[in-house]
Amino acid sequence: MIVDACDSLAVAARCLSTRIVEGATLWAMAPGMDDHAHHVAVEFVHPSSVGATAVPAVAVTGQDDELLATMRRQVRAGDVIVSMGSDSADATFEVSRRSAAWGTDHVHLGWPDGESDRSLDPRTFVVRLDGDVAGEAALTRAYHLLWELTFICLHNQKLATHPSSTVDPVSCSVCADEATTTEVVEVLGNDRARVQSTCGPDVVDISLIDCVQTHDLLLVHAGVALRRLT
Amino acid sequence: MSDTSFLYPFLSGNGPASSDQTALTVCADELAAAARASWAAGEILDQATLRTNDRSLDLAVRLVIECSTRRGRVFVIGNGGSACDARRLVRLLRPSIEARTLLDPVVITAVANDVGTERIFARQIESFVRLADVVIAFTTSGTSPNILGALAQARRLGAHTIVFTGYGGAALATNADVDVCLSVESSSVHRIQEAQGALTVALVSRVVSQLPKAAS
Repeated sequence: MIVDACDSLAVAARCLSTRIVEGATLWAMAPGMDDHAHHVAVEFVHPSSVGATAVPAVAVTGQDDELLATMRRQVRAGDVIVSMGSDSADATFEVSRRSAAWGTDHVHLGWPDGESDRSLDPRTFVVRLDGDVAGEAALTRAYHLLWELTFICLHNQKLATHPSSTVDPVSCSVCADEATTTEVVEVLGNDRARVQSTCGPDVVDISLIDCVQTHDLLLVHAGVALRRLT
Repeated sequence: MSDTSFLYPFLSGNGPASSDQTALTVCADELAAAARASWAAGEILDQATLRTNDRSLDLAVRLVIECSTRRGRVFVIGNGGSACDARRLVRLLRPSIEARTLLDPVVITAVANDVGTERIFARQIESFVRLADVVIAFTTSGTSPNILGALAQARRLGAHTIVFTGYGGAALATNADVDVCLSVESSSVHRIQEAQGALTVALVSRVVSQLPKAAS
């Protein structure tokens, strides 16, 4: 467990340091355990005693629906979201599947919920921990090490390189070209919708899909929504 | 500081933030190896901390349970990351024990601005704490003036005091204002906080398991 967690932490730290250099804000959330979100934020904002750079890091707190609403409103493409706790928490699950549309990287420090069949998006960097009450001590160790490794990378240019994703981009089934994950911001009648994607806001054709609603995730190719992601 | 401290030169003040950046030559594999070494050292420290604090934990559990049975309240304080650890202890205790932090940012900034940071907790303790209460403080250094002031204020009011600290207890182990000192033998702030997390889980677990018998 330690070996896997530490390998994952090293990958996540390289991603995080790259994004920080590019100007990212770090958003921390821990559904049901807001104290851990605050702890991550203070680690990154206030390492002044060791002369390290202050990183913009924010604790996002509250119930799952509040967490998701705040993230949707405030994150920008290029930011990094760090979630903590059970994989199956609603906010964590939704952040994972929406990160592609928001253009954010998602790092999750947590444990699986044996009773849930939900799984996180393959693009999420998962640091796997044990999932009992004692696991909270491991959680603290995980984000302390994430901070330590991130700052090693920030001070060592060749390490601050985003590792290439192991996940292939989603492809259009017709032409095999790359398709884009988008989130619906506003439905504009029966055949058009304003959406958010990694590339920014856009208006797309939704005539091929029934009953599109705000916050739906759509796979878009060449300006046309091909299917709804569920 | 763990054996991998050479990989964290910035933590000792000699790092790239203040010197030549080319001095640091770790590669990605070493990054994961450093994490594994720190993780393993942390786990060993956690276990040692639980062993050496076993009796002190029992004393702390007794104070918390006696406080609860006398309908007293538990107040928890700390600065920065230790404030988060204070919130965690309250979150874990709350289903069983009347506990709260003294970390309202409005009150803290008011006192800090008008009086001084050394009074942010003492002033609140003066307001809230009574004879039957327990004050619990998290401090990795054991030297924070606002924590020392809070403990002294709690003592003046006749409340019991428990501290979680690092550096082997430092001066707090013999501080007359402290009833129980739970200490971690380390000088790494991160490893201290993690071991304090293990102590927190142990404390809550023992309180929860012993509370019903004490209550009945």
